Amino acid sequence: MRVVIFLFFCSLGQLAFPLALSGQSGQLYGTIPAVLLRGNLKPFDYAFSLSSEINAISRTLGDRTFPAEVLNLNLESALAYDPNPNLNLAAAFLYRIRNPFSGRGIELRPWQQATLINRLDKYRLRNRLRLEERWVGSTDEGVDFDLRLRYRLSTDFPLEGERLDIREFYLNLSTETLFTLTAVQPLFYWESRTYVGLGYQLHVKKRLEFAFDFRSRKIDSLGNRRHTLFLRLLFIADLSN
Amino acid sequence: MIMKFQNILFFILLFSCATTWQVRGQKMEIEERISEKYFPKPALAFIERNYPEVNKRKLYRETSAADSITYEAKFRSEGFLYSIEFWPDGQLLDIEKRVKFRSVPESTRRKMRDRWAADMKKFRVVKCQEQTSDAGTRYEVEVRGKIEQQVSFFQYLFEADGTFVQKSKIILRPNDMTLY
Repeated sequence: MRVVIFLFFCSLGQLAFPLALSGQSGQLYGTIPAVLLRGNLKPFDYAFSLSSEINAISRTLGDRTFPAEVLNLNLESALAYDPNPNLNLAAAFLYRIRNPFSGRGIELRPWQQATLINRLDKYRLRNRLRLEERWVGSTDEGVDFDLRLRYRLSTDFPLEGERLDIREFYLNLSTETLFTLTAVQPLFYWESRTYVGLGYQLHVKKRLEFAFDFRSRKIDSLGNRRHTLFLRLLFIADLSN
Repeated sequence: MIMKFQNILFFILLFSCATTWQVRGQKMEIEERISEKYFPKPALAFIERNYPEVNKRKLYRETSAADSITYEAKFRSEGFLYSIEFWPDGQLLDIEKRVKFRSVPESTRRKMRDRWAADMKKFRVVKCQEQTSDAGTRYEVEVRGKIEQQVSFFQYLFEADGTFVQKSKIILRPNDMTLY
């Protein structure tokens, strides 16, 4: 278990200084503090979350400056249903305030997803397909609409024993590909996200997850990419009885 | 700017503390991995004596809801997965051996299937373990079954002849990870 935790921290090096970083590609660093409250109203599960993406270090990439600032504030509510133990269906509504402290914009984002879940002893493998409808509005540029498709492959497993008990660590790993279907050349301008999360079950109804969330997207027709490494701290509380 | 970021962090920490106080006092069964020096010596000797070819051995201490402590060794030997539980003084509690369901005697399997057919519309065996203890040999079988349109996992315990002993629903970990 200690070895896994050590490797988790070592992975920071690879995420912070990726091999693909070259040419006009650039790297940004940020944080995502988040709180997720979940509960159960049979037969549905519900969740509310509050999060924020913050660019932590001011950087200039090419002719563009990315100041250290709060990029957005997110309030999200979701409803999920498990038709069977291997399938999870969910729908949610995200209300996002963009650049809340420097020129405000609003994004409304309903999304729907289906997740296939397979269990092999302590390992849980998930295939998630999500469709997002994004309405982005600002006072001076009107409203834009984007349709985004996301596919994620992920796994999670306890690091001690076959089940996750309190005061134990777990690992949550995922890789995701995102396509904005309404954009020009959606297959060329794809985005990838890699998530390496180390979680800790604080108590029976709450846990903490610390993660490296590495995002990479093409920013021009030359194939240059912008990479962002977010340190994510997520607190999850279960409100069900 | 820094003040606002601090406010968000403060909110998270405050919320974390509040829920900590809310659920403090509840007890859970805890399984923790331990090293050989904390495992009962007679139990280690039992394993060495009876299972000369041991692979991937992992040792655990389990504290139950009633604060009783047991020790468990999980390992692979001669192609089978074993889980052997001991009392703190090293006395054997039970031996669980993962077996293929088709290796269970046909008459026993027939009784098990009859029980599942009575309980569920559809069923599928996920895992089968042969359990040996003071109570004799029993079978612990994990089954995925459908009851009134709802699919769930259940754990059944049967005597060696297929007589039903008990059934419990397996509580799965929540799927909230699909949301973030």
